[in-house]
Amino acid sequence: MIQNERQYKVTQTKLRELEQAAVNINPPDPNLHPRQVLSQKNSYNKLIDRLKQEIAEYEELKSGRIETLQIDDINDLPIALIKARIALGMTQKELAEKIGTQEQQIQRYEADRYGAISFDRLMKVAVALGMSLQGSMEIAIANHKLD
Amino acid sequence: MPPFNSLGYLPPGIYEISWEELMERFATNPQRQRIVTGLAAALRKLAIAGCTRVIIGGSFISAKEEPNDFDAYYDNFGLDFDLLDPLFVENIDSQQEVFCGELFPTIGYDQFLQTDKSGNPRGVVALDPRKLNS
Repeated sequence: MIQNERQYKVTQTKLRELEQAAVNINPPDPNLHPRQVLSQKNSYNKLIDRLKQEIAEYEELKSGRIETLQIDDINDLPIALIKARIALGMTQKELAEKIGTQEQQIQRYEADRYGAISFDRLMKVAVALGMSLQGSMEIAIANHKLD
Repeated sequence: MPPFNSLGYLPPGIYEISWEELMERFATNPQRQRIVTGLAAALRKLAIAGCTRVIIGGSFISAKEEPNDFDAYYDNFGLDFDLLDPLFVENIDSQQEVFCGELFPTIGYDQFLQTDKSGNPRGVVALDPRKLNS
């Protein structure tokens, strides 16, 4: 997932390089085994599609058209925090200033999908992003007895 | 093998490594061992087709405690393409599921693994899949 402008630019460059490489094998060298050509073609296409998707997702978030984020799994909460920041047009540096930390710390949190953040700091991030729940959250508790 | 740098990567470069060294350095917890099992399966399939060199990178080759997968590319010159497993040709979409990671042919992909998402250079490891025992 693209998290900032620098990654956005790097991803665009990588995409251009791959698209050029994909053009270069077309038409394929007749001396190459057809399965070699196919393996290369499929690999390029897979990577190109993935980068295009990442770019489209980032551009969509940045467009300002997104007002709510939906998650189906509590594990997706960190992703929602990152998306919310981008959708607000807030840079990692701006978020860092709001919660009183360094830009690099936010970059680490996001790269690590907020895996190592403390709960009180996580709440500060959510507040800084102006996040609120719409309605209430229904939390299921697995119903099994321990032996 | 040098220690990880401040970004949690090997310093830029390609480090030749044996399978035993890779296990010792990177298969350090159950999640990482799961990834290594998939990687071994992929390397055995590549060895059957005569592949002699695979470069491995991504978050698996970093200080990250629980990487999701590995990223790799393989030297595809001189391979016996009739023997190359469909997972590398027709069915590359299934690689993630079967191998816990992805392997692509070298060309156009080498620069990919040697920089991160932000363009920071990072080190990768190289090994010969034919030397994988058992």
